Amino acid sequence: MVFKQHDFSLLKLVLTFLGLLLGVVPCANAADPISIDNLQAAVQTLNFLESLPKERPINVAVIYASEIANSQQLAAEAVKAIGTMHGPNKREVKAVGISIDDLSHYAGHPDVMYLLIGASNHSDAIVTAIRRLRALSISDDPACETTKCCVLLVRSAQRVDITLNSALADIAGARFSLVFMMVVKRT
Amino acid sequence: MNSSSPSLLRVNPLTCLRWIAALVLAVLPSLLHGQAIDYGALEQLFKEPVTTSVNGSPQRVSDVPATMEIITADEIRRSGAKDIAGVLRHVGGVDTLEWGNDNIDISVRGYDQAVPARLLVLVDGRQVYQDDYGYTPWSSIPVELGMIRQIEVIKGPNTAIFGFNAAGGVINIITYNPLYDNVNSVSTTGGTQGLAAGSAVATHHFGNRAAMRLSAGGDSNNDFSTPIPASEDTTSRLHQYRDSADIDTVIRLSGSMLLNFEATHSDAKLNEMTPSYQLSNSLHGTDSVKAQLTAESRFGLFRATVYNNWSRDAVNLGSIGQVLHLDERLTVAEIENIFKLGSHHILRAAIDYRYAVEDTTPTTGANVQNSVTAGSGMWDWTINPKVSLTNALRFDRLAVGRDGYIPPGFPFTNADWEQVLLPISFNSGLVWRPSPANALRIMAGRGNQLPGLTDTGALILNLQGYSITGTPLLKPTGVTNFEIGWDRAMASHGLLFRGDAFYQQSEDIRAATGAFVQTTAGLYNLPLNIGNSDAYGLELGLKGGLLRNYRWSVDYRPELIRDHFIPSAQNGADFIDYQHTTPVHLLKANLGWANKACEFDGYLHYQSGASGIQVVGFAGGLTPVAGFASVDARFACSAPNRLTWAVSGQNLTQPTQQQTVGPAVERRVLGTLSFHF
Repeated sequence: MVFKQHDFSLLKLVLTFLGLLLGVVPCANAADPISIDNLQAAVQTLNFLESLPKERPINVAVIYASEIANSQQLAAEAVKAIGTMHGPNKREVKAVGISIDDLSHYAGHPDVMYLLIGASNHSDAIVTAIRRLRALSISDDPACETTKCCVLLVRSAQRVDITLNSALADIAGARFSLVFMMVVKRT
Repeated sequence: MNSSSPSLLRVNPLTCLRWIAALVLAVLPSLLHGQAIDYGALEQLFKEPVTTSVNGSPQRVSDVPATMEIITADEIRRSGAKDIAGVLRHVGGVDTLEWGNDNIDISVRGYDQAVPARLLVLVDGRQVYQDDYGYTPWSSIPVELGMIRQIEVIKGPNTAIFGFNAAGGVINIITYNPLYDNVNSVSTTGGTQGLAAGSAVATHHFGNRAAMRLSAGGDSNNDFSTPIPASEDTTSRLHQYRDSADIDTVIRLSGSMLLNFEATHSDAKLNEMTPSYQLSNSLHGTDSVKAQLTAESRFGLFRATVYNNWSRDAVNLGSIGQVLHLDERLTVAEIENIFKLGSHHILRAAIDYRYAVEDTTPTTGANVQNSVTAGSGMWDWTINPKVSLTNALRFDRLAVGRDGYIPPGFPFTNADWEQVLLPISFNSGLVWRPSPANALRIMAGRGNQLPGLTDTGALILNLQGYSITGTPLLKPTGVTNFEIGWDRAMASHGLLFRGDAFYQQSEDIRAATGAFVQTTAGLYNLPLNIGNSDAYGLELGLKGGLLRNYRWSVDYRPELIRDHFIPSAQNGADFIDYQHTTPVHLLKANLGWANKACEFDGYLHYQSGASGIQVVGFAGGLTPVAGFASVDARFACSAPNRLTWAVSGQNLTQPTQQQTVGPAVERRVLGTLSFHF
């Protein structure tokens, strides 16, 4: 009897743990929250983008993958956060959220496409957009390095790590200062 | 000055300018849009300082293949120091000998002495190290603390990039660039020892194409009033002062090309410990002009620099009854290009020329010179995302010379100076970053230290019974360094650990005295190479933050030095001893707190007992100095109207404290009012 009581307690404990786990861990198809540090670092890289048009606000398109459950909400948060930041010489930064589904017929003129997690699953569409819009793509999703759809991978964790995809930068018509290229990693 | 210099020594600065102009014109057509190094924007992006002082190309401080400390403008302000030397007192692994209120001698990794020669000091790459005695008179550096972006301290030889005299380390003081940084401030300071000081920095932009920074400052104070040991008491202390001015202009010639002009002036009067450990009254005056062109092209980042330094020193040797007038001119022309080759290689190629000349003193009528023509290269190879290898190599052609009057019975003729040396220096560093939090550095380097111009003959001092002069036979001191370092960041705890183990071997160490030559005119006392020295040490540092508003750091350096000197030079007899004068244990710690309006910092400096050198008869000898701990602190608050008041103090725990074999240091308390606009 004692053994059974103990067994029951253990089962209850395991069930409680699983319940907690299910309650705490988000749906596998949902993206992590956006990182303001990563967004800030991404905007700061524009100080070294020499091909950025001068004398007007900087336009950023935040690209999200609609199949990710909370991506539209995250895009809205990113748009709001980017809108509070300043570009080179304190220039205004204007951001707008765009679904990956709408990217192929997007008629705007973004200088930068910021790719949220999941967007890099659509690398063909993104590279096509980079070529068509001549816009720089930046992301903090390491997957974009593998799928080769981000010109800059910018992550600010233990240290700020920036990887520049030179071939994609050429496609985007993005030209960075030599000093910047000497300090970042290049692929 | 005699005009019969050998032709190889008389390269006209105008000729150098013509060479530079020709090269610039060759590069101009290929210029693309670009910019010079905007340290502020890079630091903001990477959340750590960026430097070019290790291998010439821009690097994040966590990536450099060298042991390096960068003192940021924030840390300079929070140091509470009244001058640059005071800021450096708080830096781990930096040795200081504080002889007086304005007189500090500084070295890294031990080997400190009165008038130390092993540390090359630069301001924005311009040498402020003086070639006469081969040292840096800190009071005469024409820089206000408010115009400094960062002070870079590189430990170990770095001659392959900076040339001669970076044998023990390099301190490169980087000032704000007026084009990128809008710095405007005025401050006034008053304090103990009769200190009255003022400083102002102003920046003005002329549209987007040009900017100018003006800075000026000065101070006036009394030296410490503690007793002067009898062996050093050769002169009475004089009231001390310093004034300096700097004008720095940057013109954007195009989107890709910047032209920079800078002119500086300084004067300083202070009581100063001489290489023979006796107090003197010194006047240091400096002037400089510098022009630099920076251009970015498809061939890389090109930089051409030419500058001229003039220094006028008058050293009153007190009871010896002589005044040395050390008038030196240094001309430097440098051209370098840094470029990327593919995705994984950064290369740097540079040629430079420097010419230093000094009139003989106090016996006049001659001059001694040295000229250096050098070629250097650097290759930085990113082997894979985790491993990079940097190699730098430099070939120097050093020619020394002397012209003019030969006193009767002088031990040399001018022909003895006609010598050419071809030293080679290198730096290699491997950095392995197995994870973002860890970095392992393995480094080796060799640097060379030139004898000062006084040691090579600019000094001709006739005393009763003997004379002191220099010799053309001195060899440069070679310093070879091997070290391994490990950095570990523990972001979850906000901690950063740095550990280094180093072995340093110095060959042909120079003493300013010790060789005796009997001539028809009497006995001459000459400098000589007295032997070698080995150093073994560790540098351990840990820093972090606490409860959001606090920061702390601890740096500990144990070091053992073994001198292998000729018998007649042992135990400081020739005024050189590193084995007994370098403290085995050196510890520095800092605890700081800040909120939006106020900040507090406390600094602890502890060093174990060592010896100092004092005059014993006609030679030097060792005197014990007990270990000591000293405390500095600063408290400051800023008002919303950009006005900041600060109270700071040094050596706070005791009214006086014996830290060297010189006069005891006094407690110092300062009050500063500053306004930023």
